[in-house]
Amino acid sequence: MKYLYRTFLILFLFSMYTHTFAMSVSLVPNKATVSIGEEFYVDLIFNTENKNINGIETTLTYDSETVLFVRAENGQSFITHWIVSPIITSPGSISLSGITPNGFSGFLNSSEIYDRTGNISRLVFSPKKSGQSVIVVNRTLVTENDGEGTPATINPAQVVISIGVDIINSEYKLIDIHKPILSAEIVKDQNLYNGQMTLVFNAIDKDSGIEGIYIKKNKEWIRITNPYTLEAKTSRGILTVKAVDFSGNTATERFFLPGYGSFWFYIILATVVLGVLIGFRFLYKSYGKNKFKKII
Amino acid sequence: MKRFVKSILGISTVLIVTGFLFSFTYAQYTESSNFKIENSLIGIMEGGISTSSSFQYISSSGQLESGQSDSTGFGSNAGFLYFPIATTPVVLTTAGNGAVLVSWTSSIGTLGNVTSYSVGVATLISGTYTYTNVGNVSSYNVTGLTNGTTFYFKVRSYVSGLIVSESTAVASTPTVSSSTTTTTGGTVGSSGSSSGASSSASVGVTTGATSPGGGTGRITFSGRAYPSSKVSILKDGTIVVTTIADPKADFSVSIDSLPNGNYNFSVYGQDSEDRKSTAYSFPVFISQSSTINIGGIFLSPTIDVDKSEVKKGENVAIFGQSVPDSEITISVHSNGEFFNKVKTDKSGVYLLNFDTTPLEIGGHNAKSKSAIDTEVSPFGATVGFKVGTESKKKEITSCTNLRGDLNCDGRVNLVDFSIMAYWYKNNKPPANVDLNNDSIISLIDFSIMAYNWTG
Repeated sequence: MKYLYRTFLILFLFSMYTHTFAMSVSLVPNKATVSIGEEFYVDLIFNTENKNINGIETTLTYDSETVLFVRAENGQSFITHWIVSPIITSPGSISLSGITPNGFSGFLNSSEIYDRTGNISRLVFSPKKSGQSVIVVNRTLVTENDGEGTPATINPAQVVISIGVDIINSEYKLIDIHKPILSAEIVKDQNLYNGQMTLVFNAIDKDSGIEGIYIKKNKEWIRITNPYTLEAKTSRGILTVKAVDFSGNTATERFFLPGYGSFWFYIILATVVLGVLIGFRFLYKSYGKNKFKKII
Repeated sequence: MKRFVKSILGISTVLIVTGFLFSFTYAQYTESSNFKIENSLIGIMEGGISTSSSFQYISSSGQLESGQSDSTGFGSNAGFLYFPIATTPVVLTTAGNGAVLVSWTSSIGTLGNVTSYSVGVATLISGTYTYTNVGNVSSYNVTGLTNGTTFYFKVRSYVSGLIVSESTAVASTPTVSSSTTTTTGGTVGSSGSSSGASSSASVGVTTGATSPGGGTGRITFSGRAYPSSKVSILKDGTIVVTTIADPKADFSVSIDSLPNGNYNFSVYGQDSEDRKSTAYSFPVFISQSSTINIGGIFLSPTIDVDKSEVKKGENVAIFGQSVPDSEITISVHSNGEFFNKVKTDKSGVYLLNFDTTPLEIGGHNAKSKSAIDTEVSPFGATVGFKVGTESKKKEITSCTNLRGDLNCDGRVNLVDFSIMAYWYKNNKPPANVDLNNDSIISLIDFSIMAYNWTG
């Protein structure tokens, strides 16, 4: 029997030696116990375990009777391009999916060791009634950055929040002093978007995350979704796009629509017009009203 | 019961050992006029020919009993001889007060897992380095250093005590209060990362990224690409700066005014024929007023083939570009893996006419890596070809070969992402959008696009 134990011990040690740690997701709240009305957040954290991944897709479920989903802050996220930014798809269910171009395996942190974990999203909730509230991240699909999108499934995880009977109405707010970074392009191609002029965009905010993207139309800001089909005549060929983060910081960009000339065309045109006006003023001042009329 | 279990285990052990022995006993002996190896097992994994003026010896031999076979002329150690290699760790140093924190990424081994690391320190870039074995960890705080003196650090990785890679040297000067960080890596080698980086550029990040407070950082990238080629740096998927490598293929580029936060930088190059390299990503955290140097980046060679299908037995040309006068290892993957080595010319161009005789009918892939001095690049992208009954020239299509370039503009960027997002989870997407041909746009299609992202 001792021989049998020894064999199993060797096999066990061998299995320990060959064991490799698996990728995982976890939910990390800023508070385990909260009061009614006291906003709290849960960070959805991904541990790469040194794997290089570039895509993630998952759903979270929560008890919509006890907590209210307020918003998702993606400022600290390693996901840079959201296919579906965290959104409520049904009561008590949040879906999200996005990619990191060229892959992610962890951050090189100048003050700490190489950090294998990354924040997917910070989800802000507000407690509605006392009791226990369970937030679950369901099975998560990730894709490896190997050129073939090799999928891997990550096991679910959950966190339990205790909600007391006290009522403390307080908002969670991250200190955010940075402007968002806005990237946008106007596409006009017969083979794309039914040949219509279309605005495609992506915005990143390193702190609180992007609240929304807006365009100026008839002196009013209108919230848009990606991609956005532009009308044939928009503000005389100039389109103003604004990214706003959850703290109210903004980044604005102006685009000259195709067919209305380039940016430099307008600069040169404005310079010529200004030059002509200055010239007329010079003539007017030099020759007086009557002579000026004769000249022109 | 005890005796029964013991018997079963004993019989199993005998069967396994016997099977092992029989699997090796088919070999014949190898001999020459000078020496003889009985029951040799020749297995070429990767590598060349061991040779001297008196004998030539290909790969390794297997010997079933321990001990050393020797004579007055030569000795042969028993066992399977293997030569693991590994990627060079990316090393980051943070200067402190009389100390420097050295951290690094894991070194990925081939033919063996990296089991430990050592950190070397010297006062001159050329050494001599004093190494400390730190075990299988990813950071080490070097203490007892003199403030104001510049020290150089290297990290070695080991497989069972054998050195398999060594980082380039990283400088750091401990001070009373400092937040300067330096990073190196992406290659296997030990030459100085900063030397020879004669093509340089610098850019300030301004579009919507100004920081009203909290400090900003600077990051510098340097390494090897292709001679006089374009090198692009992406920040969070958007090109922020491009530079041109010098005729020796060296490049260096900096980005200033980065607000604090996490960034995902990536680097890729385009060769003289506009073929793009695999992108390398560097997710970093920029802290207040920090300066990060990422040196020793060695972009893998570009690669292409002249035929989409080649008649079995005929040659297929495998070519591309890398650093001038470097050694290119080309791997052709079939049921087995075939390794070939060629040299690049003064322009960094390489060409291998590969005989397809040993390949089976069907699809095959080729990839390449480059080595110069002691630096070795990782393997780059794969290129596919078929072995069949006739040869077909690879056609240059109206669109690029980039998977994910949906609007055929030679780039994979936001526009392509937007087009794919439009078809997300929709049935019957266009064939050019459905990158894995499964009739639906899913995360896998986006993943393929993300891999090929050029910004």
